[in-house]
Amino acid sequence: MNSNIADRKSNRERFTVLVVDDEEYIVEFFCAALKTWGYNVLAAQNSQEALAVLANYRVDILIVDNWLEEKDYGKMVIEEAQKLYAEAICVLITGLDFGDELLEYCEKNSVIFLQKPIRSNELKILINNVVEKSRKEKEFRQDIGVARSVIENNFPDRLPAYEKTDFFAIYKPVYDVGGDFYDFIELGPENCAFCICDVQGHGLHSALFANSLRIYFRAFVEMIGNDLGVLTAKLNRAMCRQTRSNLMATGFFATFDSSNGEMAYVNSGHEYPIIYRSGESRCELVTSNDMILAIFEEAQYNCRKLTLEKGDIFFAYTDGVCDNHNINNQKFSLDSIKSIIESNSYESAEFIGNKIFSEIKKHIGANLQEDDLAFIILKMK
Amino acid sequence: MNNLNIGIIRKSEYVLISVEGDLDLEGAAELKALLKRDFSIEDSVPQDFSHLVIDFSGAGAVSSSGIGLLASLQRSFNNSKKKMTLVKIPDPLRQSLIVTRLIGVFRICDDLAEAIR
Repeated sequence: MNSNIADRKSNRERFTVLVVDDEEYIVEFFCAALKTWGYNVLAAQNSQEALAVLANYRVDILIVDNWLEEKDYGKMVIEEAQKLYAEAICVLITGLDFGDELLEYCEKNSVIFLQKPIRSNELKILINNVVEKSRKEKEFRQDIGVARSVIENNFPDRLPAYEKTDFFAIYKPVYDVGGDFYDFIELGPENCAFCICDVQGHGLHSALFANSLRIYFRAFVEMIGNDLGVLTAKLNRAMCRQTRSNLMATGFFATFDSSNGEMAYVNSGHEYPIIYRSGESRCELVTSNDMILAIFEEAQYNCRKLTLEKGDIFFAYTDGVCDNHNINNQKFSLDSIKSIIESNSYESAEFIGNKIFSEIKKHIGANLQEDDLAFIILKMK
Repeated sequence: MNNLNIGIIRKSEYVLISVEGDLDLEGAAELKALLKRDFSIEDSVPQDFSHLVIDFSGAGAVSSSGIGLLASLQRSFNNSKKKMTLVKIPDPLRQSLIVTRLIGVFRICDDLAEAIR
């Protein structure tokens, strides 16, 4: 209990309030009250003074009369405060006469609207509430930042570097964090386990689920090794038991031996990977698959094999690669990806990956990215 | 706001849910909430509930969130030994169910008469 009181007091002490009003008695009233409640207080009696204060002091809360020097300069002061201090809480005060456009302005610009006459208790409750809200939002943003760094740190910091194989991987979430991920676990000088997965949804919820999936995958690779059918069944059971969130995931799990190009894999409901066959100069889909993850505990998974020959390119991706729409509401087609791979088959995995990603960005254009996307490329040299 | 409209017809032998619009992240959350609120269907299905029929004839896009909801509903119906049927699923949804290997998990019918038989 006592520590809460101390925390609240220290929070108030950290906040600096700028009061701007051209009526001296109102400035004095606000300043006296705010000081009593434990805030640092700055004051200005016209817009120019206010701009000077803003330029020289960090302001957490701005309380400003809309009507300064016989004009509505209050909004100008708010715009400057928001420009300088994006997180500043702005309160616009007005007299009895105001139009709907002022309310619309406040709504549009996240400005708190307060009408005179203002009672001391009313102001105290308002300011304390916005400070508390601001503190919680800041804590939440910090938590998201921590979650993001934990998740980002789990991405491999480097891709395998083998004599005969070239690797590329990319991940672009819609929000700070997302449900797509890839992973590479080096098992020896020429072989690795890898996966690319897509957890349904976006944001923190999906990201945390994805992180669990990745941790299980790493642990089971250590425990079970190459038996991917058993590994994926175990992974599925673990994810089914771990969550009641009704999230599901798809994944492509593989082990790869760069010395001979042999890949063992399980596809648990994931997008069909593409293989460019250099001998035939064309792409084909790897269409065998099994059940998605985290829905049915009893699902069985089959380990299958394929071989990459010299010059072959393996491309595995999440559905966000194709599901982001352009301004004409069209998706980025699988044929576009095949075409890019086929016409750049002599280039490195990195070149092809960057080319595909830049074409996806061009396709999305002015639209917002709708879905997390990730893809990996292996090219046999 | 999503563009999903959900119609409900209650019969003694079945409940028909008609999905019109996109069953995306928001739409799936809305349908999930409706099934919980109106029918107490969540991780399990009440004993007195007989058969859920979901009609997709007016449906638009069904995202992975929509598929996730359908899969988890089917799991709940399986666990409770109750019947669930999808009717007139659009081709993109059928393709997604094939890729995810869920196609064999659902009872899927081409018309309502067959679904309620």
